Parts: sequence; C-alpha cells; structure tokens
Amino acid sequence: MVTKEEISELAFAARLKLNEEEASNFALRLSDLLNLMEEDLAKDLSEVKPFAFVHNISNAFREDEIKKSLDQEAVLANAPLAQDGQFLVPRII
Amino acid sequence: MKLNDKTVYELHQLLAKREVSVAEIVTAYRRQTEALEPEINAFIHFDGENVLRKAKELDDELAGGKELTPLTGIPIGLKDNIATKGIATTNASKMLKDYFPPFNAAVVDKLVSLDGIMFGKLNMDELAMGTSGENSAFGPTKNPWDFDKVPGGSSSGSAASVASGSVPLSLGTDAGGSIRQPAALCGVVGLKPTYGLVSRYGVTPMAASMDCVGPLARNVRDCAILLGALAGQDGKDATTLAAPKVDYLKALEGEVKGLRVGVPEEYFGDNVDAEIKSLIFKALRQLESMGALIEEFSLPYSPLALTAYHLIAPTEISSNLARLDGVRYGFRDQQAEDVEAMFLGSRSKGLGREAKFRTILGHFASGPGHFQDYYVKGLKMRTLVQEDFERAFDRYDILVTPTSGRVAWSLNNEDKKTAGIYTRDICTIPVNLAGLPALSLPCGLSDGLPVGLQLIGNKLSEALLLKTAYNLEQAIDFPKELKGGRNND
Repeated sequence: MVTKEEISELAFAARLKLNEEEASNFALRLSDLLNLMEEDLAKDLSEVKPFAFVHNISNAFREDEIKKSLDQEAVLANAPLAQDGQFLVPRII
Repeated sequence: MKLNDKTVYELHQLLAKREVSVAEIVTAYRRQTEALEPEINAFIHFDGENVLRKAKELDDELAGGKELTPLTGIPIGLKDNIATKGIATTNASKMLKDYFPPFNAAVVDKLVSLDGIMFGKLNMDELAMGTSGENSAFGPTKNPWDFDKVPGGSSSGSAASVASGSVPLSLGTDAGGSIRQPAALCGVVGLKPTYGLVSRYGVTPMAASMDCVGPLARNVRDCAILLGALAGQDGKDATTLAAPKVDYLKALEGEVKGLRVGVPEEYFGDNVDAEIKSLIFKALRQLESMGALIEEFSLPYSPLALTAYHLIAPTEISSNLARLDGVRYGFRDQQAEDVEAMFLGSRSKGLGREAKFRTILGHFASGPGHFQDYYVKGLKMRTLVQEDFERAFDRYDILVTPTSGRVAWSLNNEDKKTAGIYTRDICTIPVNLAGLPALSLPCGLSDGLPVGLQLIGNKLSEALLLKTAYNLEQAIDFPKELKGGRNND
C-alpha cells in the first residue's frame, strides 16, 4: 500500500504539488496498479537482457554543419516573460 | 454534388476532371465541421475562412497549370500534438494553451508540399495520455456514432472527425494504441506504422521509445495514400529508418491466397467481449475462404506487456514532461516569488490529472531504490514480448486480434480515476513494445457500435497489412454512411 505521504514526496521530486484529493486518489491508483503488476514483478528475470532499442541499428550520424537556427524573436515570442533577448524568470538565489 | 462521403481517390479524380474545385471540397467539409462541432468537439482549432482562402489560392495555382498530387486539395486534420507554425499547438493541455510553434512538424511540411489542406487541429487526451478522449483541457470529444459514448483516445478528435465526415483524413499518434483504439471505437481505419517509418520531428514526445505518427481514414485505400505521403527517412529525426520507398497503393492489388495468419489466444481472454470475439472469427473465416491459412497459437509473454508498458512509458513521460517548466514557453504561475515556486506552481496548475499521475508513476518506477526492481524489470519484460513476436513471425505473415476488447463505453465512466482503465489497452500495447506496424479495420457492429479488427505485421510490412485489410474490407459488410446526424452536402 502506497501512502499519501509517499505520493507527495514523489510529486515534489517531479516538481508537482498535489492537493489532498489528488494525493489520496493517486495513492489508491498506484497501489491498485502495483497489485495488478505483483505477479509479473515476482518473476525471476535474472537471465533476461533489458531491452535497448526496437531496431538493430547503430547511431545515426550527420555532418557537423553550421545551419541557421530558429529566429530569436520568434522563439522568445512564446516565453511567458522575456527581456533583452533572454528568458526572464523570478529570483533564483 | 455530395462530397463528404467521397473517398480521397474519388475526390482526386473529380479534381483531375475539373468537375469540382478545391474550394467546393473545402466548403463541403467546412459546413460539416461547423454543423457538428457543437456536438462532437473534435477540433481545438478550426479557422473556416483561412482554409477556404488556402483552397482558393490552390485553385488559382491549378488553373495556372500546377500538377495534381494524390493529396492536392484534400482536407487533413492534425492531432494537436503535431507542431504547426504560428498556429497554437496545445496538446489539449492548459500548459500549452498559448504555445505557437515557430516551425512545422516534418509531417506537416510533407503534406503541405503535396498541396494537402491543413484543415484544423484536433482534440485529444492531454499530452496523448488517455484512452477515452476525456482528458482534454478543452472538454471531451464525443463519439459520432452516439454522443453519449467516448470516441476512444488519445487520438480522439482524429478518429471522430474522420467518422463524421468533417475530414476525409487525419493524423494521429500512437504509443500504446492511441491511433488504433479510437479508430476501432469510431469505425474508421487507423494505422500505427513501424517505429521509425514516419518522422516525429515537431511532434510532442510522450513515450519516446514507442511514439509513432500515423494515418486515420474512412477506408483502406485512403489510408494507404496518406501513409505513402508520410513515410520516409528524415535527418531531423535520428530514429527514422532508411527503408526503401514502397508503393502502398499498388500493394492493395494483391491476393491473400496462401497468407499464413496467426491468431494469438492471449488476445481473446476475459477482457474481450464475446460478440467482439465472434466478429473477429467471422472475419477470419472470410480470410480463410480467400485462401489464407489460419492457425491459433500462443504468444506466452504478451500478458507481461501491460506491466512493462506501465513501467517504461511513465518513466519516459516523466523525463519528457520535465521540459514543461514555465521558463521558455507554456503556462507560468506568475504569482510565484522565486524560481522553485514557479516550477511547482506552473506544473501543478498547468498539467492535468492524468499527466500528473503518470509523471509520478515514472518517478516511482525509475527513482532511487526502484530503478532495478521496476524500470529495468519492465525493460526485461519488453525483451520477452519482442522475442515472442519474432518467433511468431518465423511462422506467420500476419497476426489477427481484436483492437479493443470493448466497444465505445459511456462518457464519465467511473473507472476513469482507477487503475482499471489501463487494462483496456491490452490488445494494442504489446505491438508498441515491439515497434511493429498494426492496422485497425472496422469489422462489424456490436450493440450498434463499431468493432475493430487488428492486423499486426512484422517490421516494415505495412504493404502486407494494407493488402490484407483491403481484401477483408471488400468482404466485410460495414456501414459506409457518415456518422453524427448530418449527412453532408
């Protein structure tokens, strides 16, 4: 059984703040889900290799060419706050 | 002339003979969309004036001698996680409500270069997380067959808009069934391509090791036309494959005589309604009568797929969603006094419930003390699921299963908030874990609602999937009329 407190700790690690109702519901859902998974998780898979990639291909390389990047003004147009060509955020330290 | 129920190929022929203009086609679909949107809510963005202006420009170019492509003048709807330059790409999330991408997704550039009409942005489950279409910050999409039912998800608007004749074609994305399941529930054709066949540049990543972009259409031929336009390697998406170009339309001409069809028993368990099973077996008998060889067999590790998926996908989700921090784009909590409070406030107020839960689940599965016991175990299960399929394709050319174990269910179903809803994807998820292509084809009605049959193929076997689906489509008597209560111009 996962507790509300454990959910809130996980949430903080993910930079999420949950209200009471969310924390209780998520604790219940995660507990339910872990119950559904219990049998599968108990299997001995020590001999199985973890999956790496769908296809048996190696890295895709390209030439390291200088190309035009996105227009600064267009990119900053999406920023909640911007100033002097930079993203503006509240106090950090 | 009635245009909304024409196939893409018929519209193309009418354009070629100059019997209709692009403006007439677009006007017919625009009227249907405007009439049905108040009920169905398939679109997040639709600008009727703008698409008509684009259509008229295209008509002028055609009058000036421009050549037709198979998609010239064809309205195509885009799931709202596919970036469109200067047009909001919300992902059905409050977090991205005002996000206007400064670039187009690669698939959008491709379709625009073929003179397809980008018709609007389609509703979806927020950030592609959901199976009912109800997890949208812009309200749920309704199933055109019955407005009290869900259309499926997460490509809810993509399936509903095609079923209602608001567009003839749409794009969806599929990481666990999000094209095929809504296609099944809305009675349309949906294809999830091989992982890496279609570029994902400009498509919001969800579970990046499984995400795919693919077509939805009202018939197999139209689906083949759109897939042909989408497929191909893209330098901007390093996971795309250098696969030879295939003529999917030509592939439809073949027969299915001698086709080895495997029917995996694990996909016909208690999670699948009896009437759905019986419709799938009816279709299998039709395939058999065309000369296909049908055999039941076992994919013993498939039942592990649900556990593997719900450990791997959330881990990838929690990583991908970390970028939604309120700094460079998207929603920001402007009340926050310092940057930590801004991260917390922006994410907590901007993201919906399902996105929050899956992010937390990902942190659980891959966090300190859990990584080996959960995430890595999930990866091992994924290996077993993939090897299961590899062995199956030594013996069979194609596999047949249901797409969804249930027909469209009622809106506001109570298990929306519980773990129960996850088991709904049991037939579609294994395919994503193995990166295989699969197609959902309407194969009949149960309780008056559509049932989907899933064809699963080996990697890069889309031509075979489409050929088999095309042969079956001719044999299956599935209602062709548009759904949603208004039957076109």
